[in-house]
Amino acid sequence: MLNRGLHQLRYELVSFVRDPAAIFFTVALPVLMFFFLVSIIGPATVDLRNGISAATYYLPFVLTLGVVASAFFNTAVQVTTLRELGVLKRLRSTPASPQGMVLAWFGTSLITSLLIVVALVLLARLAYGISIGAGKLPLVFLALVLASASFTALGFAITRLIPSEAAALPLANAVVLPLYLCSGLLIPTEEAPAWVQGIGEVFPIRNLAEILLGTIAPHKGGSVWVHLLVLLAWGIAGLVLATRFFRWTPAREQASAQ
Amino acid sequence: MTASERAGEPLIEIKDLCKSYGSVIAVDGLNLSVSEGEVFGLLGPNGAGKTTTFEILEGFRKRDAGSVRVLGVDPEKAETAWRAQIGVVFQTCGLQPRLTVEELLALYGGFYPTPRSIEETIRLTGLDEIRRRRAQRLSGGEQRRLDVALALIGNPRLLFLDEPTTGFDPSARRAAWEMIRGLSATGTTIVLSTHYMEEAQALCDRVGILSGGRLLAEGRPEELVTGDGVLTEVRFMLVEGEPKLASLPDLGIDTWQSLPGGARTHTRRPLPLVAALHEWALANAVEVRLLEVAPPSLEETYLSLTGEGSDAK
Repeated sequence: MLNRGLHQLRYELVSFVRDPAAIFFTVALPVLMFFFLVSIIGPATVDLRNGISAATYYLPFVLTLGVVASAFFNTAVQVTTLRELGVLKRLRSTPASPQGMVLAWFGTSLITSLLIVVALVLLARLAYGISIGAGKLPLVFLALVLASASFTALGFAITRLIPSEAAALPLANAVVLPLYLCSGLLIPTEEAPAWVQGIGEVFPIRNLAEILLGTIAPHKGGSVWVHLLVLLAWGIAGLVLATRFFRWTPAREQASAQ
Repeated sequence: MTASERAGEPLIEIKDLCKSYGSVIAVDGLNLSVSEGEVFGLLGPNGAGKTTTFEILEGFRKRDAGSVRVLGVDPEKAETAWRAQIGVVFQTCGLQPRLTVEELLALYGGFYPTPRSIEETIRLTGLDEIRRRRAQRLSGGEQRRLDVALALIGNPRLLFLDEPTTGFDPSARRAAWEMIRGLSATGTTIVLSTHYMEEAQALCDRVGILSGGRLLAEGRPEELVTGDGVLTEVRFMLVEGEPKLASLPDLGIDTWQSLPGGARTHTRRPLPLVAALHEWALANAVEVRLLEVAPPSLEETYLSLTGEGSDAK
């Protein structure tokens, strides 16, 4: 199964590097966002966490954005596209294992997430002098692996709700954009109403951001393990839903009478 | 040795298969079997239930009733080892757009335990010149050949081809026929559907004619065209003038149809009709410049069975 997964991963990566739009949206966009967010706020500090700099505040949040973009967004959109093209149906007619396919997509998500992390961390270090302590790297890596797996599973799960290729991008955005806002990814939510913060805490995006923020800034409180557990729980839920409801054939073929 | 070989049962066995989509009946009590090594053709108009039948055999759709065994297994419960023995060409099915022909063959070949080599597959399907082209830049006919190549890469024992040559130009179709004959010669069992009667006649050991989800006829192509209820067409033209239809000999035929300068009819007994026609021409002093006795083709059989032909009744 692992071999099959690696075999498929290789060709997913080949497809990915030949897709300029996918590279832009998953890798370049977070880097640009980080640059502009920090430039707009400038040298002012974000007061909410004992006066940390804007760059320090936004680094983990834009990292989170990048992981969600590559693992959840990219998976949901690309898998829907492949389903509607009939590629998944063709795969289903071969001995390729579904688990191998999920592994391949997880691998793609993890590799693109790592690319984003490397690009952002280098930028933060060289341009803004922010560095993640070496001792924190294992935690960062663990969080990335867990988050990539969870968001990939959720990306697979949501394809069941996406009726067509054209609906993939708007629908994924409709899910993700409100959560970005409630999770403080774009505007800090420390002083937002409790329900906004509550939404952030329930969903996995804020939890990933908190883990990453804790590695470069004073932690707000609450154990890092709780955040990891929330990520894990969402991942399991995604996997169960994806396994139970996954659809291999194009939506238009579901009820057609031929 | 598989279960089907042990029991000596056919490779495909369908009994009383039924499938509906809501109130639309797609397959209505189908019985069919295909033996190892056969080329079996499923013919029928659009909506006859061909694709539904294929997809049930391939394990993509659940049936409502009846029993289905493919390679000794119920396709609804099929597992990886079963999928490794079948190759499928769907009617329409996409490809990863950014991978090349060679990459796709390597990707799909990697899923099978004993794949055919990429070189052999490329040679069989004539893809050599476009082996480094991405799928998104292939023409319709090239994509179709790649569809076939991907179905062959696993070296299948049983191959499903749902309208494999639709959209081919005549020379590409001939090439595809050669390929299918070659595969059949190596012992691959092939089940195909087609709209082209000459294709079925050229390739198939046996054909089944499907309409409204029912099997109207089944047998070797030459059996079907000489079977009961199949009519020979007799047609003639006069050197000048129109034949008086009422005066033409009647040998239990339907009626004569008027053609410009001639007439035609269909009969079960062409020879007595031609003899009577000869007498009629002598008696009426008319000169016949063209007399055609057209043997029934599979196409006419098909049209008369499916009720699609208006003049073949």
